[in-house]
Amino acid sequence: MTDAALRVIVADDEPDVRLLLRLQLQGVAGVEVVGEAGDGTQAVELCRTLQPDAIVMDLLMPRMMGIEAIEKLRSEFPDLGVVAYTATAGDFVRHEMDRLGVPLLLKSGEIGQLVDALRASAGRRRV
Amino acid sequence: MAGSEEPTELERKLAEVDQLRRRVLNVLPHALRTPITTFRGLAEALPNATEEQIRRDIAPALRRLAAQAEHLLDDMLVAAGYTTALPTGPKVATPVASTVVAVWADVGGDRRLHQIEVDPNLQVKAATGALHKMFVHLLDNAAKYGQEPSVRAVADNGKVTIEVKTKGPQLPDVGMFTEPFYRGEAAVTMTSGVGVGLTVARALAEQAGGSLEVRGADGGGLVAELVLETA
Repeated sequence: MTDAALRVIVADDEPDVRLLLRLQLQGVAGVEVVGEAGDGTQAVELCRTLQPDAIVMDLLMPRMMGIEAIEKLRSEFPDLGVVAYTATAGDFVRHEMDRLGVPLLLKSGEIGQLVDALRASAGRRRV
Repeated sequence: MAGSEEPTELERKLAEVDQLRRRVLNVLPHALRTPITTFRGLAEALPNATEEQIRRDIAPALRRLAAQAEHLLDDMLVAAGYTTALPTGPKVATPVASTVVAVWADVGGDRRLHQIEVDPNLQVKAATGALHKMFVHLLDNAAKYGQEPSVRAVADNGKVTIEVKTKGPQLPDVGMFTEPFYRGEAAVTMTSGVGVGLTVARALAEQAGGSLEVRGADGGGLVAELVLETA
């Protein structure tokens, strides 16, 4: 384990959600938001460029849906931590996230649970 | 009715109401949860934010989210058949071309209108703000779900026919697109929404004494045909 911050990308098609996550995550010690994506395609491209430790992924986005982006990231970056972050999740989404081994959180405005999930998913634990 | 194969009128109506209830419950939680949780989160972030962050980022975001909630409420009321949220006031002459350009600048993002064929002097009669709102829904739909969006207007015999057209796949369920709280497959899989945009645009058109019809385009895609009175 190193002291380097957990480098995170935030992917959501709503700019105000990205703003909130950036504000919340920048207030957490040991976490750094290194990039933001507005759709699934951009999220995959940013991961290739920035090589983050983890990504927060909205599931309903234009151009490439979150589920499709997660599948691409899973195959291209097996060590990348991925947390699905969505407003609502029906049976299909829950089943798909189980299949992909991706933790699924409902948007709640509360950041602690998301940070814990990002750290756990990235296989790193920092306080 | 027991023993009968054909549903009664009452049974058909009850089935329609049940379908509508399911559609509302399917779209509403998603559409509301994101703005509500974002609003709450931003409000909670205020005490630890710098003055610059509040002025530059948080205050405009809170205003946007409040406006989004207002529009959502208005649209839902109109879609549910209540006239309370329709624009008031007399019909005034409203320019078509400049309204299209202004709305596209807001909803088109980094995409461009593939084609616009509208006489710059063409005007229609509608309550103040109504034509703008009709185009917000029609062009937002075109920007999000269609390809090569185009707008064409033709004036004839006191009427203006405005066609907003996009290319795309065949849409077998196009007949449902103006039904309240209905979302097509592309919409459901691409972004959150309530499925009332075209319903609201139709209500606004009818309030202005016109009409809105939506149909599949030849070769795939969508055509929304708006007919309004010439000013």
